[in-house]
Amino acid sequence: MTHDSTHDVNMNETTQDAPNEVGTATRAAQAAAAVAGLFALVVAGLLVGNWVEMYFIFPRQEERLVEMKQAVIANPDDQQLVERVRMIDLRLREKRFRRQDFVQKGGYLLLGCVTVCLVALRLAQWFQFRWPVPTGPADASARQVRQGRLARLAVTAALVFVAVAWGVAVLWPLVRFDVDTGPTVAPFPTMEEVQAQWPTFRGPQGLGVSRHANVPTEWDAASGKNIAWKTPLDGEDGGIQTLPGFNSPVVWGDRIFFCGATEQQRQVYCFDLETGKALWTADIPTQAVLPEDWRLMEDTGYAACTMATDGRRAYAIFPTGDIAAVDLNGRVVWNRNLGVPDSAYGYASSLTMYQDMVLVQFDQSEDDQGNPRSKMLALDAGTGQTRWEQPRPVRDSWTSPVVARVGDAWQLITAAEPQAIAYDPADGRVLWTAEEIMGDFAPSPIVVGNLALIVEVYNRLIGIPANQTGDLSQEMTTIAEDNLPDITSPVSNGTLLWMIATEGVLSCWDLTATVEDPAECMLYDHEYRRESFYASPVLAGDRLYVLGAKGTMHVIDAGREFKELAACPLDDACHASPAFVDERIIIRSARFLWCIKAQP
Amino acid sequence: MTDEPPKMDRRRFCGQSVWGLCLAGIGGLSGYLLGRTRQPETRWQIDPTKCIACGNCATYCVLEPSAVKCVQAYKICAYCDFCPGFLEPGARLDTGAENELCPTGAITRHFVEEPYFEYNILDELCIGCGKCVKGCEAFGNASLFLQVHHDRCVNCNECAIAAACPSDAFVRVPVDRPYLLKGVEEHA
Amino acid sequence: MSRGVLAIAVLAVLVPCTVTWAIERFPPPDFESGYEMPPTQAPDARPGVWQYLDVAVLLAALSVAAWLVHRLRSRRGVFLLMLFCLAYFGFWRKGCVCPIGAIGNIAWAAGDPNYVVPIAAVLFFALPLVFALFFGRVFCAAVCPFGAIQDLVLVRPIMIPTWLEAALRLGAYVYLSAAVLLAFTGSMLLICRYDPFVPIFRLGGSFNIFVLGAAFLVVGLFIGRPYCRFLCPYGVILRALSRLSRHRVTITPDECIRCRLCEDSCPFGAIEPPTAEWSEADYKVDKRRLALLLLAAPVLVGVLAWGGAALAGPLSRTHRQVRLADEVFLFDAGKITEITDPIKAFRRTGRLTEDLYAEARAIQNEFRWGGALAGGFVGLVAAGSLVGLSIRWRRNDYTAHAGGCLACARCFAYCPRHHVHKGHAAPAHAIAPDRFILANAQGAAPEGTRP
Repeated sequence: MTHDSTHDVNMNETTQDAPNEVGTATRAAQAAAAVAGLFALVVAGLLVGNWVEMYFIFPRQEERLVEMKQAVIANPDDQQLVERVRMIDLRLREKRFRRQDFVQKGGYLLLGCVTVCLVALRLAQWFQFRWPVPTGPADASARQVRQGRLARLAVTAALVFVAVAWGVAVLWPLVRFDVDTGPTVAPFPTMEEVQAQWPTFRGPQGLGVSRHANVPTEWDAASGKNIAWKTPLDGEDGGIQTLPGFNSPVVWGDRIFFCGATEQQRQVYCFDLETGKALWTADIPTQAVLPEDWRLMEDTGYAACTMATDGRRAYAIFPTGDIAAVDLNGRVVWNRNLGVPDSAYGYASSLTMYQDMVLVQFDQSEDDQGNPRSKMLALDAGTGQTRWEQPRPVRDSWTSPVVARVGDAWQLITAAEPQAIAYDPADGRVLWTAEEIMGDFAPSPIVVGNLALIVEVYNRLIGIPANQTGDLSQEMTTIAEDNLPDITSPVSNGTLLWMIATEGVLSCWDLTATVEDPAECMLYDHEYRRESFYASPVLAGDRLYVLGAKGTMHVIDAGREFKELAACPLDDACHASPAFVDERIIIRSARFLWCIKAQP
Repeated sequence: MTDEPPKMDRRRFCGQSVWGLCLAGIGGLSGYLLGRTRQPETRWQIDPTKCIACGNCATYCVLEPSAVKCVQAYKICAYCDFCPGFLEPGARLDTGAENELCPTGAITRHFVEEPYFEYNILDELCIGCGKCVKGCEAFGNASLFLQVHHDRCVNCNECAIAAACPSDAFVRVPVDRPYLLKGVEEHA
Repeated sequence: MSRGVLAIAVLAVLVPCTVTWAIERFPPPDFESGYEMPPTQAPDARPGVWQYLDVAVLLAALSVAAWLVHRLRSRRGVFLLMLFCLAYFGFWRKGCVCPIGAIGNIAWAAGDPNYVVPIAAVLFFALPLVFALFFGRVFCAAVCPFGAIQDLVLVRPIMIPTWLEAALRLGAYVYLSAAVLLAFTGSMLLICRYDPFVPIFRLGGSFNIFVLGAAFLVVGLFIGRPYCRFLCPYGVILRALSRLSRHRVTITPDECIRCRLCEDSCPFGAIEPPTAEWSEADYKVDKRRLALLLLAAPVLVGVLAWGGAALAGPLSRTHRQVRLADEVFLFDAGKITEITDPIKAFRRTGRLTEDLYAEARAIQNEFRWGGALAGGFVGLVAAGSLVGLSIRWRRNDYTAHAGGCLACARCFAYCPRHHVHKGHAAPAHAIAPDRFILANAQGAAPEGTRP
């Protein structure tokens, strides 16, 4: 038995406690200790209960409150709900501060109780003190030998324990960070690789020209002729339910990407090119704070912007200003919000790419003071960080930018009121501008040789000598004044140019002619009655593919005279432009995704 | 001394040598470290360029409520009518509890002049959850940001929030310039 | 450098810079009403000069403790000083800065040349060690607030057998080597993170650590200072240095009369009785065992060194860069589907994944050889302990173990010579201890003696 002392022995002390007195004092001290200890236990119990409430119950209540707040936002006129939220909010806030206060006071109380308990215990002990009585043999050699042996055993046992712990810990070995990517993947594809794919709106460079001439010229949905597969997009036949969107599919390798959205939700879809099977759906989170009464026109919708892909990731932008990169397995690699663009008909510019940059033409209307808020952004494809940014002195537009080769250099060409601007896609330097063009710009620019062609809606088709620099406002030439499209973009094979107007007039123009009156350049115009056109035409080999809104693809000989080779019906509404890859045409209609391929 | 066997002398000599070595070692090490310590003491602070306002500051601090609180960089603030750090996204422009983002009601809104409003943080209510910071960064000028308040921070050697910070935003800063404020010119 | 992150962060702040980071979506308004912007709230920090007061108090407390233990030989004095230090370093300074945690700062500074180690941390680390070289563990006795709080709750001490004590003490060495390794590699300050008593001093903090601290105190009701003896990494260093101390703590002020009264007076098991005479046969066996153990020692050190190096995997994950690289790697390999906050934050920095992997690999390497060193150290200690247990020291008197004695001064009053020396009226047992013990055993307690 050992004893403890906190005080010096005072040998001069002569008072002698009678045995019964000692007993009373001891008992009193013990009783005090017991009471204080009990009280301490109660306080400790309350503190633990408080902790449980704080970390397990309270967060759940707060979550519920947040949910209720969301419900109020969805339904702001429910006065009863509003009152309830206010009441719960007040109660939770009160609770939080009451609890903090309780933890403070409880802590001090507990400390006090424990102190009292300890002092009382010490006193009791002091009253009870007896001198030690060493018993047993004074010579402890046997005990010492035994203790030595046991101690060695115990240290060995401790080592064994360490070994066992080691065995458990070693189950988590080092990660070697050997990135197994097979052959090393370059950060971005070469232009040669890009040409073989359909990576952006209107294909490589955004010109609507496919290098694959080996696509079918005839098909029929009713008989299934040359339809490799069709995948329902409305959840029927066990397929997935996609959100609506007018954006066009893009294709890289064996993967097809497009996106869909509603006011609340944004999704990116990936389909297999061979089978048409839905591979995955990626939900794109939003960070947008939407203004009150934020509604978009139904004609534009919440997913009008076509995606872009570089075979490493796929990129999508939405009219909420949310832009995201999704990897080939459907995981969001990065996402950011550029601010909600203020656009009269709803933001619709598609993304394009240059090397490892995603290019965003972020045009919006002026602010209340009339200052332009538009800008051109280049985002790092891997991280989403801004690589360069250029303010644009233009108002809202609905064109998509194109990255095309002019001479030896690449140019990023944009069109909007009141300026067409070309940038160096590498650093955002402005190469040339052409001013005083007017209208709601929607057809995207194209490049033919050194000429940038821009449709000034309802007015004229302008040619700008893109190989020059500086202010080219005076260098603009008018190429056409009639049959201009207001939604679809023109397409050219270098000498001839075709345009399809929404109301159905297909016109062909000779770019090589040198005549005074532009009207004389027109080689023919052909009107498709009772059919409208929202999809941009595509040139594949010596054939022009023009997709009508009812789903009929008009295959037209790309010559100087009008000659329709075939009209292939799909019998479903088609707004998106088709994608052309090796042997296949991919069409997104309202209810289906189609793959057209010559069937043996 | 001559009476003692030489063995004892050797043992004592060895003991004293080790003793001297230890003393010299401790002295040398602390002398070296003290000589290196030219800078003053450090304090913990949040680098606002790295902070992603994840909310860990509110829950991981050893203090209750946390020593991390939101601060307002007035020079950057746009004095929005609809402050995305003050109100829930999509909410009505109404200061009712159902529209406010702050769980403790620590943000106050004052009219300055048409159409500007000043937003202040009440330190005694702020718990550093960063909800307003997220809102302001997503849609505003990111003028709201989190900082360690040194009147509360106990400057733990191993800061519990720093250990839990997902973006490595906790840094040690010199005690004489203990804040990393936005919109303030700082010179060494 | 693997631990450059912190260093870079500190450097970035020291370099003259303009901190302006914001997304300017809206231009700041031009006020017409003469409105003045309020300043951004930034309450002042506790100025750095306070640390010098802490050091001064530490120095004074250590000196007084040495004087109380060695010259005054007063348990009451030690107890009062202990209360003061508990109040000051514990409840007033919230247990921070302390020499135990300072181990981490020193090791971190050793591994990271850019780390700014606080002056107080250096002095808090060094001063108690210097005092231990002169006066033994007077820091443990009266200055350490962790020791104090455990000392106060000790009401009914149970003697722990030597063998259990020897085995449990190994834990402190493992803890020390792990703490030094983690701090040296810039991973974390292990000692500070799992400090069991600081939440009690602060009356707040992590609940789990609170429970840990409370558990230590409950155990401490019966087992004297469990943290100090079986876990404290600083205690391990003090123990080693105290064995070399100039002035050892002695139970008796002058001579040991072998009355056995102090035999069980030490609640920390630091009093060693005189050794018995050994037989010739025992001696032979002991000699052979000692030789075997000495031969086995290098093997033990080697095995544990290898084991330590093999632990690089789990240990390196305490480093945030390795953890981040791990997460990014698993995400990129498609093994994690959900993108986490750290990955998002990492992507935001625009840093190359390869850079991160390279840094993580460098840290893993550091852990490999650091783990080997740490394991080797533990092996060395274990081997030393086994060898030490096999050597038969000769002692004629009751002595306080130079390393294990916490200099708490409890045993002094148990020694009859103490009272004689103090000039108290000589008690019966000081003159004839044998008779006293006998009388005591028969239940006739001496008058007015109560330690």
